[in-house]
Amino acid sequence: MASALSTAGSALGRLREFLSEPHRLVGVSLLRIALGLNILAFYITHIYERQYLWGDNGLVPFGTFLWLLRVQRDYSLYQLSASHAYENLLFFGGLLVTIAFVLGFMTRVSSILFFVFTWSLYARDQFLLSGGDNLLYLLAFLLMFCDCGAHFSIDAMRNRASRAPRPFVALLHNFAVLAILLQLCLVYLTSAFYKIQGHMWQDGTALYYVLRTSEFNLSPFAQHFYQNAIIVTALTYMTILFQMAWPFLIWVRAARPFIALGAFTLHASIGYFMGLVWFSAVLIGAELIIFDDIDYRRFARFCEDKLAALARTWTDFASRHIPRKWAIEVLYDGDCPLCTRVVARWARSLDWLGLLKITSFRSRDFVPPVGVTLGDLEKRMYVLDADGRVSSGIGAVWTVATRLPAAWPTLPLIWISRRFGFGDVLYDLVAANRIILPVGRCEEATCAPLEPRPAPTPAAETGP
Amino acid sequence: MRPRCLLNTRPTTQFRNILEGIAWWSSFLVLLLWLAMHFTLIQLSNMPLSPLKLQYSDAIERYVNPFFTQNWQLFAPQPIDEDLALMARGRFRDPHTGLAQTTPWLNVTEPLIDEVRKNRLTPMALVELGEANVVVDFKNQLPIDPSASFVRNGKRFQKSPLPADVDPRDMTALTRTGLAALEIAYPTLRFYQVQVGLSRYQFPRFTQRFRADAPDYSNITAVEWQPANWVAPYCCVPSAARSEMVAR
Repeated sequence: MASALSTAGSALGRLREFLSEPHRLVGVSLLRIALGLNILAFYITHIYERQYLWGDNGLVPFGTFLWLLRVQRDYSLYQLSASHAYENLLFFGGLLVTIAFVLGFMTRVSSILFFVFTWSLYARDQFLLSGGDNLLYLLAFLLMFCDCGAHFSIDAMRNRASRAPRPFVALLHNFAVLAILLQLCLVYLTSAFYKIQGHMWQDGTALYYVLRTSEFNLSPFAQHFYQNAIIVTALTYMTILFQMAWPFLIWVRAARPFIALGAFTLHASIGYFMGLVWFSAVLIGAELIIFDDIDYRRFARFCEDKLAALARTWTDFASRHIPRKWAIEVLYDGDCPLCTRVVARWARSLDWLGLLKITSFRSRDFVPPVGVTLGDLEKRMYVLDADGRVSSGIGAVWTVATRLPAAWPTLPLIWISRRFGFGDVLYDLVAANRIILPVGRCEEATCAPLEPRPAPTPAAETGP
Repeated sequence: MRPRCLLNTRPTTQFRNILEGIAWWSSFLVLLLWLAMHFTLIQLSNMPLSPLKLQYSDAIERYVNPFFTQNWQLFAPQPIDEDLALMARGRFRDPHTGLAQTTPWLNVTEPLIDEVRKNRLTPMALVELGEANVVVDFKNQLPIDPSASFVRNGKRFQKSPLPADVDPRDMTALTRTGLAALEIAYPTLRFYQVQVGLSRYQFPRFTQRFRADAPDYSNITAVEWQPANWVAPYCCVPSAARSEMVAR
C-alpha cells in the first residue's frame, strides 16, 4: 500500500515537473510564423479587392453584416463603423499587427491582436470562408496562450538571457499546445468520419466527382487522374485512410516525418489541382506542431552534419582544384568587436573557396610582416598574398572580396570607391571609430580582463 | 526582547512550496476539466445528431458558437457532383432613347474559374470562393426535384422551382455578386435592376467518364428582378476575360 502510494506520488511529481517546463516551443514558434505569413499574404493579395470583399459597398453591405452578427451573437471590429476610413484603418492595422506577429515583436500582445483582427476580418464576410480559415482562427485563439515567441522572434533576440522558470505560465502553455494537437486530431477524425458515410467515398469514385467539377478542375493534368479507375479508387481510399490514421500516428515519433510528408503531398495537391491555396497553406503549416523540440533538435543536428559534410567535400575539391597562389592571409584586430564580428560571421562562413587564412595580430605568437608596424595594423586591415605583396585598407577589402564569391556583387562598388579615392577615406573613418573591446572574452555584460602577453623567456625560445 | 508579531512572520520556504503546490494542482485540474469539456462539446457539435447532442443542444450551441464553430465535412459525405454557374443580367436605360433594355445572360462563374486556372494565387480565387459559397447556399434551398407536382381539388399543379422565400442574406450576396460582374462587363452602363439565376449542369457519371460533353448553361432558375445598388467592383479581371464575359 505504502509503495503504491509512493509510486503514485513520484508519478505525480514527474507529471508536475514535466508540465512546469514549456514543451514544443519550436513547433509553436514555427506555427506562429506559418499562420502569420498566411494571413500576411492574404491581406497583401486582396489589397485592391478589399472594398468588394469586406466593404460596405461590397458583397455583404453593412446592414446585412450587422444583422448577421446579431443573429449569430458574433463580434467584429468592423461592426463599429461603416466608413471607408475606418475599414481601411482596420485592414492596414491588421496588416501591421500580422507583421508584428510574424516577427515575434511583443508576441503576447501581438498574438492577441492577431486573433482579434483576423477574427474580425473573417466575421466581416462569412461567404469567404473555407475550411482553412476555420482552422486558422481556432489555432490563433489557442496560440494566444502559448509562448509562441520563444524562438525565431524579435522577443527571443532581445531576451537572450535564460528566463526564470514560470511553472504556471508553462502549465497554461502546455495545455494550449495539447489543445492545438487535439483540435487537429478532431479535424482529421471528423473529416474521415463523414467521408466513410458517403457512398461516393465508399465506392471509391469521390475523387472523380471532386476533380471533374469545373470549380476544381483546374489543372491540364487532372483528367489523367480522374479518368483512370485505379488512380481514382486508390487516391479516394488513401485520403480516407490517411485522415483516419493521422490522429493516432502523430503520437509516434518515428511516424511523424511520414505523416508530415503525407499531409504535405495531400494538401499541396489540393492547392495545385483544386486551387484551394489558402486552405492548403494552413493545413500544411499546422503540421509543424506535430514535431516536438527533440525532433527539431535532431533535425537541426542532422542538417548541420550534412552541411558540414558538404562543406568538407567542397573544401577538399577547392583545395585540389583552386590554385593556392590565390590564397591570402588577412590580418585583423582581434580585440575590435566590429572586426571580430565581420570576420567570424561573414569572412569565415563565406570563404567557400578556402582561400582565406585569418589571423588576429593581437594573438601572442604573431610576427608582423616586414615593413609593417603594430601601429599600422591597429589603424587598418592588412592582407598578405602568396607572393608576399601587402595591401591595406580598401585595397585589402578589395583583395578579400575577390576571394569571396558571395561578395562579388559588391566589387563594382569597391572598385569605384578605390578609383575615385573615397574608399580609403571611408575605410579610415570606420576604422578610427571602431570600439576596442575584448569581444571573444565577453559574457553578457561583463568581460574578463585581457591576459597579459607573457614576455618571451629564454626557456620559451629554446624549447624543451 | 522585541515582541513577535504573527502577521509579520514570513511563511517558511516549505509552507510557500505547499501553497504553490496547491495552487499549481488546482490550476492543473481546472485546465484538465476545461480541456475535457471543451473537446466534448466541440466534438458533439461536429458529429451528426445523436440523443446526447439533442439533449444538450442548447449548451453546445451556447458554448461553441461563434468562437469555436467548425465544420470538417470537407467534400463529405457526398462531394458536389455538378457544375453550378451563377448567371446575371441587368436592366438599364438606353442613354440615347431612354428606353429600358436588358443585357443577355452573363455567366459570372466561368471567367473567375478561368482566372484561378491561370494563376492559383490570384485574388479572384477569393471572389470565386465567395460566389461559389453563396451559389451552393442558394442551391441547397431549391427543391430536390424541380419537376415535382401536387394535386389540389382534382387538379395537378407544377411546384415552383423556387422556394417561397430565399434567405435574404443569400439574396443580397447573389444580387451583388451578379451586379459586380455586370458592372465589369459593361463599364459604361448604369443598371437599375438586376436578375440572377442558377444554372446547373450535371457532368457524366464515373462510368461514362470518357463521354465527350459540353457544359450547357442555358437552363436557368432565376429569382425576381432586384433593385441594383452600386457595388464596388473587383478590379483585376483582365480585359480579355471581360469581353469573354459579354460573349457568354
